[in-house]
Amino acid sequence: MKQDIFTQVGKRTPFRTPEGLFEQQEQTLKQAVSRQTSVVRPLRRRWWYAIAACALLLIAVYPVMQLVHSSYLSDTAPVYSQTSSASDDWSDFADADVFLDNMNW
Amino acid sequence: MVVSHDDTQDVLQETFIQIHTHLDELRQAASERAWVYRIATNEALQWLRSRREFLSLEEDDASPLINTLMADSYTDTGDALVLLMQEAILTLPTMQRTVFNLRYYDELPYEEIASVTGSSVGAAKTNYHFAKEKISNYILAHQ
Repeated sequence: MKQDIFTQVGKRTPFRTPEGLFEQQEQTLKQAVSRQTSVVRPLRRRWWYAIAACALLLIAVYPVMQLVHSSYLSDTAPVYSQTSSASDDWSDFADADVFLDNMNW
Repeated sequence: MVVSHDDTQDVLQETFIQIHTHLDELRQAASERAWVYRIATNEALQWLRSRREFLSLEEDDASPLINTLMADSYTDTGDALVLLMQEAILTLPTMQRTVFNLRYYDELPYEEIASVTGSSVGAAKTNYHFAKEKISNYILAHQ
């Protein structure tokens, strides 16, 4: 009896489709996919361009930065060693300054 | 899985868009058919999850789905037994319903069903067996 039910019904379903559904669906899908590719692909490409540009910029700027940094250190190191009592000088200056002295900290 | 004509169209469209988007992954897939079915099944399940009215508190409460089936203008109500079988399928838990549809209507081998549903071959066979039993009992009880 139980097997009869499946034999009787077979693969029939109550679902119907309107005339020309699949042709219409094909057009809708083409439009949807072209919309998606026209939006997504350039965006993806733009991301890659941005990453590549950043990497190139980093490669170009890094040696220059290294050079500037090393020359700055070599320029400032001797000067800084000469003014080792710079903080003492600043304290004296601050104590003597009328304006700073009148401030309520 | 999705009973209304309009909802089916939405799921179908989303499925083809997903296939188009992830076409590169198709070459790595063991079975092309199982890969396409997995996307379609996932889209259908995702759609069901997005509709609160189809997420009943009790798993066997299929009344919202059955109501949608009956109310849809593209449902052929001419054959009572065919309609009753669809009702019976809609009362099944999601996994059993998925396995039943893939096996009974689409005639997929159990290995592919397991791949689509992310379960084992044994689990697919068990689900199909229980689904058939429940459908038969439902039809016999409601005839």
